[in-house]
Amino acid sequence: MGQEFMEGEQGGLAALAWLADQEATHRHLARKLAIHFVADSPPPAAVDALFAVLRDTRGDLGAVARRLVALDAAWKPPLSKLRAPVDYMMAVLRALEAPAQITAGLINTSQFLGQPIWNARAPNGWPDQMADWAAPEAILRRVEWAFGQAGRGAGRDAATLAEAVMGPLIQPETLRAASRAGSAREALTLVLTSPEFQRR
Amino acid sequence: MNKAHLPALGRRALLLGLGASLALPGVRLAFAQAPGPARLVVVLLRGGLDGLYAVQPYADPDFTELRGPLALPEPGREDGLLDLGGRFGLHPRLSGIHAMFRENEALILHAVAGPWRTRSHFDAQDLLESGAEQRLASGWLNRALAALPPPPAGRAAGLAIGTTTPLLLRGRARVDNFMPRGVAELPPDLMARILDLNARDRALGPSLRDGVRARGYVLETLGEAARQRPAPGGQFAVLAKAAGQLMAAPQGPSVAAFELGGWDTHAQQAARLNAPLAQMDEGLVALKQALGDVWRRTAVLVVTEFGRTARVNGTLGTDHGTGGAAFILGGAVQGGRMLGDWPGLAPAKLFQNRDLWPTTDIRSLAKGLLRDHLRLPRAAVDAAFPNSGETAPLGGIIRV
Repeated sequence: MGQEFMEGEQGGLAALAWLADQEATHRHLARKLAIHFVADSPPPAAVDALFAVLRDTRGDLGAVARRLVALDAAWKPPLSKLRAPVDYMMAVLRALEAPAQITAGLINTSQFLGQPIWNARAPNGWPDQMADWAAPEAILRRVEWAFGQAGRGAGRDAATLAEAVMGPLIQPETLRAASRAGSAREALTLVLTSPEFQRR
Repeated sequence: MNKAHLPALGRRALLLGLGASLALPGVRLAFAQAPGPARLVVVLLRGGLDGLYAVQPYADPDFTELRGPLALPEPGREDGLLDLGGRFGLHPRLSGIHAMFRENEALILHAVAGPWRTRSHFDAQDLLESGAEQRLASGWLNRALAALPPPPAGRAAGLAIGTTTPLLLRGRARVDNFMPRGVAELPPDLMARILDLNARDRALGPSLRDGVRARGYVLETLGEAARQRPAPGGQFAVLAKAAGQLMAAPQGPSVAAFELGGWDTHAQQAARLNAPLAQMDEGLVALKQALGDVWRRTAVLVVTEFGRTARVNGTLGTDHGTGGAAFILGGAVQGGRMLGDWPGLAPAKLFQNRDLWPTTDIRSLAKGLLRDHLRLPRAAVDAAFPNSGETAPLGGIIRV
């Protein structure tokens, strides 16, 4: 790229600083952020908006994060990002207001669900596309795990819980299926395994 | 709640199966005083088991016309019912329970219901577990525990098998909770509903279908051939076996409860019930085997929150109803008999012109078990089932 840097640590830092200030880096980062927070194939306008912030602020991550939150496309239903296993695990536990003691078993759970905490594959880290997380066995494990967790939530009303955690995102089909379920636990399982609950 | 149609229960508990009345309780007399404390297991069938399908009144003149495609061939014919004494027959998947019946260890009751008349699963299950006509904060089985001799230090008198303690066992008395490892399989019917709900999703729909196929879930309603399950009886048998092993221990719990779902068959009932019925049967056989000698002082009450509509609906299923079937199994049980006051299936005999008319209050079964099996004093039975004075304990369940 026509640049020369000193040998040693100082040179390395200078190289990183230079790279961080490149337009190509800003575009790459904008695209990765949009893929992670908006959609697997994000709308070009969303990528452009994030890119513009990074370019104008010379790579201010705080500023781009604020712009991300303000993006309409990040919030507009239907949400399309499939929750990765750990996101899904957290969402279920929060929805059921699981007690703090439950954290002890979560390392195992994250492994069972296919995203072992602290063990992301090097060097690329966790994948970020639906197809990477939607393998049949992986989805089946989520469903089975959710059924187990729903047992803890017995006594809760599934429709109330769905409204509390998903609000306007909840689909009428899900509420209908939950209302016809054979038990409170099965109703909760249906809410927790609905397509919209598995999205973010 | 209208319960005017309930006769004085217990008084009219009739022998329904004439052939079965030849059962010889005396043969078992030697076992009646089996040493050691009594064990009581309650199995909750969540979702509303169709009693008319599991226990078919094949000799009732209105049965075949009313049930049409859900009436199975009579006993002795190919894939026919398993006879229960000439008037009733068990679904062929319940062969283990039938063997217990023939060994005088199974009592089968028909036209049973709780005092509630709600058609909501959630409400009816809460009331079934509360043991009352309104929802209580504790379950009848927990309240019954309070009257038992205190368990050894550090032990609980009651045991809930599963990920959660059902309302039935919640309350003041300490109850342990146990979940065998590796039990994660869902009831096939619930899995079918989850598949339906996700079918419209372009990623999750196909993934779930493939996953379910690979695992060999029995989903006959999806047009797939039934597959051999990895473990006979599936997770319910694992739960039942665990319950039996824990209760067989010398200082094991006196009382345990666990549950089985998959009974809410609004559509394609004949196909959808095969798996749950087989699971229930294999599980109860596994429970008996795991209990070993302790089976002789055990009674198992198998109940559901309500029966289902007497007529078959437009999707070859049945909807939430009232009267249904219940089972009491065990070496301590004076079995080999059908009990209940059969109301008949003529249109005028149906409750609200749609359900089997309930003639036995489900609480009378439980009260009979508390009084005669756990030998609780009257005050304790009344505390377990408050405001049930009009519902006398059903006598004659337990060998004397």
